[in-house]
Amino acid sequence: MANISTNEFKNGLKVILDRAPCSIVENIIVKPGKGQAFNRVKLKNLLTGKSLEKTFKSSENIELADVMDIEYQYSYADADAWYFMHPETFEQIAADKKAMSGADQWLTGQETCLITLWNDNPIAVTPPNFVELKITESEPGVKGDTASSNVTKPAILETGVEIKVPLFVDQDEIVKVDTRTGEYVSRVKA
Amino acid sequence: MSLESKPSAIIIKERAKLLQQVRYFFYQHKVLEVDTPHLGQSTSPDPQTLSLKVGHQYLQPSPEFFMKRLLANGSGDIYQLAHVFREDLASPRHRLEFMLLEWYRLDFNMFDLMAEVFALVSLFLPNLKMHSLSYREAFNRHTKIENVHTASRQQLANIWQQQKPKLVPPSNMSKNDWLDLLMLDSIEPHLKGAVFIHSYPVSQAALAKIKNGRAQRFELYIDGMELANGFDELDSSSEQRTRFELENKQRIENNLEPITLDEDFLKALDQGLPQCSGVALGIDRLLMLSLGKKNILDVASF
Repeated sequence: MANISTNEFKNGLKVILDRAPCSIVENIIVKPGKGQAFNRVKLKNLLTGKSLEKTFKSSENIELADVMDIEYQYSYADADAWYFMHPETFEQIAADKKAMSGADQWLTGQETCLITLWNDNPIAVTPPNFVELKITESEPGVKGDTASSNVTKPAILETGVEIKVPLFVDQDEIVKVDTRTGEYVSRVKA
Repeated sequence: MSLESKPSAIIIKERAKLLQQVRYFFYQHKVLEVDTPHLGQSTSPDPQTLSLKVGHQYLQPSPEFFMKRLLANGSGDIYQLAHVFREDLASPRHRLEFMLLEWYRLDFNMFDLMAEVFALVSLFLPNLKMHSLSYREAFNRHTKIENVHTASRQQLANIWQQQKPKLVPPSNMSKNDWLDLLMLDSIEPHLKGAVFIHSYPVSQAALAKIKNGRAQRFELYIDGMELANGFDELDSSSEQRTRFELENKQRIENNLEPITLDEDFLKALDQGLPQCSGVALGIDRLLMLSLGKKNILDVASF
């Protein structure tokens, strides 16, 4: 892939660092009284999800990473991978557990997910911000005295993930969940 | 960005007052004001100085080359308040077009001129105490490297990493690059008040003479901000040409166009530049300091 100069750094740009694709989160140029300028850059490693801070010489050359974020529809999963289909080309791709990075706990089928591809390989899967899932297991809520009552109770969703829901929500109900926080948002009318 | 609407009457008046006081200072010291072209056939080949091209000419990043031609022609002590142009990356202290006060004093060495710079700056910042330390002392004090001039590239890299444990270091760093990064990260942030740093490494001599293995160069920092850069001026045209050619080589390495050297300037050095020391001081930054402003746009007329 092409090289760019650190002078062309912008937030959101994807570059290769130590052979891993990284996204630029912050880029500040610093210059001593005289001499070489430097870029103070915060990056996110797209493979590990870890943040790092690196100082670059200005006018240094870096390889651009061939990274694209494309929407695919979730199809199904087997023992090895999760399979997605492109809504227009019907192309199928497979993401492994590492790439799924927990997205699997929100998917039942047909959800539109954002797949991050590096050199055409899925490295990360982002589920939709909100999903609607059925509660398959939850005890009826019992209100205790107001001073010490819990306002939530645990509930297991059809995908197997456990979240906290308000006491008035019952088993077999459908709830809306924020996948970014794993939190209950509201009940959904069937 | 500045929140004041332009132009501000207060700023216009303060700037006028400052310029008048500068002129009066030089009038008292019998230094002649000169006015040299803003456009020239050539410019500094320093790869860190980005000059703007206008047709086949360059907007001058400093009046230095013209002023030295005047000195070689027997002008005596001279000063100039010049608009200069450098395509620097924008910052609260950088502007593409800014004003430099540049002056040259015959028979002054670096230390004589530092004293005069302090006298001038004290007019606008009266409670300033002057501190002066060599480049070597500055590194010793802030990085514990006893002699930075003989330290290895690896030693410098190690010290930087110790001071910045969470940062990944840059690649392809020469010893000079490490000196710049350590200045930036380990020394400049700790320079409080008025600090002159003098006697730079030979690799950072720019247009300064070299004496006892040290560049006769000084910089004035006020609260960590660079305000002035001065030299006991190099007067050898062959040495100057060699330095220019090295800078052009570095330009090519950085994918920059080489600059056709200023032969008129080199000829003037051949003719004979009298022994002198010269200094360039940022007027906008001086105004910022005297008015307590943090952004160069806050002292601009527009």
